[in-house]
Amino acid sequence: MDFKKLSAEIIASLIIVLRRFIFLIFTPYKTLRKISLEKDWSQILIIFFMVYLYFNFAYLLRESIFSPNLIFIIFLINFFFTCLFFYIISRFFNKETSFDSFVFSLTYSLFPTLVWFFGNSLFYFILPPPRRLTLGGKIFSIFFIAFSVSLLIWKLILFFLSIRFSSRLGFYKVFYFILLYLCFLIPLSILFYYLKIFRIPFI
Amino acid sequence: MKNINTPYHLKNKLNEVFFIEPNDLGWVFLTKFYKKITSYLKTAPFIIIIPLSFFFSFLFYLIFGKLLVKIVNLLQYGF
Repeated sequence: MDFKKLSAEIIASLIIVLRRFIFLIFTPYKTLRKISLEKDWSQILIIFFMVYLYFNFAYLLRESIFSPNLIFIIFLINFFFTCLFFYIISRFFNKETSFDSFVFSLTYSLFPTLVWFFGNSLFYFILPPPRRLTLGGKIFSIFFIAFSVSLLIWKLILFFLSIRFSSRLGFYKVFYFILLYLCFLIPLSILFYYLKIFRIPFI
Repeated sequence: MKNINTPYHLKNKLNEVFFIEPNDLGWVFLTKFYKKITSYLKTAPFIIIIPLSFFFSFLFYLIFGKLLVKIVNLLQYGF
């Protein structure tokens, strides 16, 4: 195996991932449209490695009863199940869909999730809770809610576009698929909460 | 000098743009409304999202007061 060629390919994929992360902020529609046609799996590995780094970082800040490796495996199972769910349900309506397309677009739609969780971890480290009813506490609370809502709306936009471009179906069908997915996600999130695996769903 | 790659790039660009059918919501006014809303979200959506988020967050504080701080405490423990 040519090590120089492999490392050049990995560096090129890393640059593409970082570049696309920035483009997802400025032109999410056009960027996700291109991502849904992508074939380079090393980009997926890079993003999963970022997720793995996050779980280890969170474990350092707050020791959990589960190791970060186990939480990462649970995340991977949940993620691929999500991709498979949308792929199977889309195949009923459109035979031209591909599983790869769902994996690529849903992986890139993890970006707002990563930003929120990393940001929340940093806030936990810099300004540990609980927040008080002082002026500073209220101002921070307003800012934190605005930060969370902005990232949630961005995540919903990317998630919707991921399903739309990967399934190549219209607005109503995509909306219906997302509602069906919530029927599975909400009970699972409650279960993860009680098992103390994920307090907030990492999707 | 004529760029001989122009038709190839144009063809690729057209394939990329039209590989998916445009959305049709069934009613003309609904489709127009949907396209109007999504036109703001397709490019630099943060210009709309961030100010709106701050506005609704402040509105939430004015209406619910202390509940906002309790929710933030819950969320901060959520990672």
